Amino acid sequence: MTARGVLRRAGWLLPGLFLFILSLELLKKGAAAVGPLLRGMDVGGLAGALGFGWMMACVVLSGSPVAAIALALLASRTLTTEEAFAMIGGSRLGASFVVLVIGMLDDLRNRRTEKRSAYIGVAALVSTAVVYLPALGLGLMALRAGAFHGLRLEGRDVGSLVAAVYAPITRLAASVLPAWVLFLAGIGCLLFAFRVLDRVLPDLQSRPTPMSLAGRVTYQPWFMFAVGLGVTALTLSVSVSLSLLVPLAARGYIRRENVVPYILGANITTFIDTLFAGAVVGHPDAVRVVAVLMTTVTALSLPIVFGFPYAFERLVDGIARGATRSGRSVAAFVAVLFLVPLILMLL
Amino acid sequence: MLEPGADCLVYVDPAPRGEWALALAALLPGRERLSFYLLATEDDVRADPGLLQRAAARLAGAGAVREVVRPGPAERAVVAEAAQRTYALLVVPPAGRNAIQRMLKGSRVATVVRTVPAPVLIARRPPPRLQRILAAVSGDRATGVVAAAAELGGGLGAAVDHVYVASEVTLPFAPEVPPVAGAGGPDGLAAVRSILAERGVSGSLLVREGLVVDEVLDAFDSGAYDLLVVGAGSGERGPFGSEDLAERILLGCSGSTLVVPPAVARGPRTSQPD
Repeated sequence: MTARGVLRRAGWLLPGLFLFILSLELLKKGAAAVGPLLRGMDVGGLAGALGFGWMMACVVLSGSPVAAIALALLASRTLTTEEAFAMIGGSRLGASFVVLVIGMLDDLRNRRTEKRSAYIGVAALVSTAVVYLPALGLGLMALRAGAFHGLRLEGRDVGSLVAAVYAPITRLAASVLPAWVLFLAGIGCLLFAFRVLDRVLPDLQSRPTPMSLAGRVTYQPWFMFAVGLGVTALTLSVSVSLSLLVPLAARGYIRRENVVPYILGANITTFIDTLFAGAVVGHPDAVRVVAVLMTTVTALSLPIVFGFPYAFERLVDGIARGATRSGRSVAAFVAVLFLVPLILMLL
Repeated sequence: MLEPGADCLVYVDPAPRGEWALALAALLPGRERLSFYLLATEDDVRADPGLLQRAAARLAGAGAVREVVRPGPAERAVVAEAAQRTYALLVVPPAGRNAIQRMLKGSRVATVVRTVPAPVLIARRPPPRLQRILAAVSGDRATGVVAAAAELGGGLGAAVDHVYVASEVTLPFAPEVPPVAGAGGPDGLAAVRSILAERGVSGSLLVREGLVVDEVLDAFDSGAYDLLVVGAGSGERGPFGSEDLAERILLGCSGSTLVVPPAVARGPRTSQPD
């Protein structure tokens, strides 16, 4: 990339960060309207927060904004630390569910009867669920035991700078808009901020990468894990990094041996933007909940990648093949999984 | 591969699995026209001076049998001997190491396959006769694998089947690209069919979908085959971080495996490098 290209991309960084922090501030201000809504929907506790995060990620088609919203709700005391933790976990499951729904729609559109692209979605969801559900349990124990207690990334100076820049805007907005509109505006602003930040990211599609061979070459699990870590550290979203595979993998195919370790890696670095959100929302536990989840997910992913990658691949492949055997089985799988967050919210 | 007068190297292991290599070598087609070099390590010969003589007796009727002794360990001896002479085939039994031992010491057969540019026959529980051969033709070395399997099958009067594993999955909203012969994606199957047709190969082509290693091993076990033929990976010439599936197949196979190296096996590029 030329120096001019680098500068042009870097030029989007400040507006992107400005919008990202603004959206978090708007969400915090508007969160007052969400508490009664959640209570009205009878959403509460860990299961409810998990289901809510999952469902919301399905609605906004991405996990990262939902994780940021969970932190904003934590900062406004609408959610407890544990509920925010569960909602962030749910957002990751929902993000994988989005990949599955997209794959299913693609198969329907192309009337595909074999090599279904829903396979990627099922593999993403199963890989995520198998790691995240125990990671959430472990993380909860770690939170209760005080792990990372006192971990802070924000400083007094940053906090006062944020207040100085954003307080006049949010105060004005709060004076003319009802809280629920502020919250919706915050969500819209957050989604827009992610689009702006996308412009900062390097153009991976124009470069030769290991993924351009991923349809033909089988890579070592640790290598695809590292690629998943790296690509998602740049794209910040599992669904974006998975969708990046489309133009990157030659001719629209990827070998199934390469899928699972890539997703496991992507599931870790997708938290980078959430860590940043935790640093700016101004709650003492915000960074801690993200760090705990990131640590437990990493702790469970590493033995899989370096210890028994093939057995795990076999498990995921078996489920994904079973679920994508026919159009009906995909639809049944999606319908069942759509009910899971609803049931969790009603528990 | 096994033309008259060709030299075959057989590693003589004093362990009971050493018998597997001798039994399999004795089953090779046209062995009365082949020259067998029986290799043992210095330590093994010192411990059992009659080791190579007994092994030679097992190959009675072969064109010629010669004895070679080299310093060990086994894989180093085999690799060093293969570097000294052009062998048409190496017959090696596995060392019988478990996963932890393999992590610490490496795999004997994988080391030999990776290093020696000749076909390697890994002898594992050979039956009294080789009647059913399965050739894994998923790789870009399908031509050589088909040829090696056909040659062995013809010489032994064995039935040869082929298995192709489609491992590719479609990415959501990927553009529809028309098939191109010899390229990636599902076109590999068409390329394999064309190779089989060109060579006039009879026998069935099993098409499976899934993880290549698991599907090939499952096809081998469920079809009760006696010998598996695979193309060796590209070794150090593959892209950085790539994996040689042939190694995993030969380590996981419950029966004997013939690994055809890239130099012998390379044919029109299809979809997979194993």
